[in-house]
Amino acid sequence: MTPHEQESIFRRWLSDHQGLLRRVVKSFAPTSEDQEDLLQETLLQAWISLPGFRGDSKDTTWLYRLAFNTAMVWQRKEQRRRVKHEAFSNFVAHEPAPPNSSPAVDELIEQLYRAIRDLPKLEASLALMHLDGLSYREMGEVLGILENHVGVRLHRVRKQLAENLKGNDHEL
Amino acid sequence: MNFEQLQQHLQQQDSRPQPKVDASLLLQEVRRNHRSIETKSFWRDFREVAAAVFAALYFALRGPDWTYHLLAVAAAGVGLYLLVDRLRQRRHRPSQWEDLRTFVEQSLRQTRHQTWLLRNVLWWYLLPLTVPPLVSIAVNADSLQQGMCLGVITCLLIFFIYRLNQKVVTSDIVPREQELERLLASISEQLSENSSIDPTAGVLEKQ
Repeated sequence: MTPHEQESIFRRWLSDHQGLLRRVVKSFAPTSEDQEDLLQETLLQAWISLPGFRGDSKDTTWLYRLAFNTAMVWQRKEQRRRVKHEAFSNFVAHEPAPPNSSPAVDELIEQLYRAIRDLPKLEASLALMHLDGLSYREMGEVLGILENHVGVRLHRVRKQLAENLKGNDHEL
Repeated sequence: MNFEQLQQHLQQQDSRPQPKVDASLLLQEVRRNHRSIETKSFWRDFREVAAAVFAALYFALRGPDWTYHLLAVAAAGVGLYLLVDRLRQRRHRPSQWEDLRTFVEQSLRQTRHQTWLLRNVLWWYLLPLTVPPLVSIAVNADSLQQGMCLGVITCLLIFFIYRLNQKVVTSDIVPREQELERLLASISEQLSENSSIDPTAGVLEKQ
């Protein structure tokens, strides 16, 4: 992969898959400061790892793998020692106009992220991919487990997620 | 609210306009961070190996005394070991784009190696570098008292460095190793548990 190709793919992913990266980050890091830090670290790892991208899997599968792997070993204290990241918000050229969404829905989504963060790490990954609508095969590819094992584990994840959301009137 | 509605709300968030990121500026920052990591990593390796090479040359050229030659050989040995180990570890660095299971296995292997290195620091680092000076002290000391005094100081220094390394293992590396082991166990547990379960169970759940 030439440096030009690397840069062009990175820019395209940044524009197309920013939402995916933000969702993973919100599912693993509790505070907004931590989320900024993890997002920057994920982007850094994406840049470093991009020459290894052969295109034999979908962009999203590859990015999910990278984002989950980064989140699994991410430790804020150590990260700070290693490299001082600029806040991601410093690179936001302009915020979009506020969408027509209700505060109730926004609060619900926040509760959902909290419930995902309360799950063990593997289950949190599964819950997020399931909510994102990935197929069992894709989830298996990301985690390195068989497709039918994904189904059984998801059954438990939905139960656990429902437990974590209990009292919020959400039945799963 | 049921799962499908939650799923819908989450996915709708994605269809909202995302913040416009200044990609050029961000790329510049990512490249800067990458360079910073590479530079730090290079200088760390360079410092360790250069110190050993410098010590080896210093003692080799110091004089005809065989104890100095012993020190030179020990320092060169430690430097070579560090160099080979760093190069090997660089080749086996965990690949961030692998599936989670493979990545965790690779990370665990690397963490275990770090634990092994620090737990055995006495054998591959401290003793090779301190036995020759101890021998030199024993041979060249002006008096028994002076020799004993220098010997005790050297042993205390070894003990202090050894304890420091063991503290790092206990407080930093072992907890990470345990976390990775738990994660790997939770992935593997599923594989063994489910081998007796109806393979269509997952498909039915999806439906």
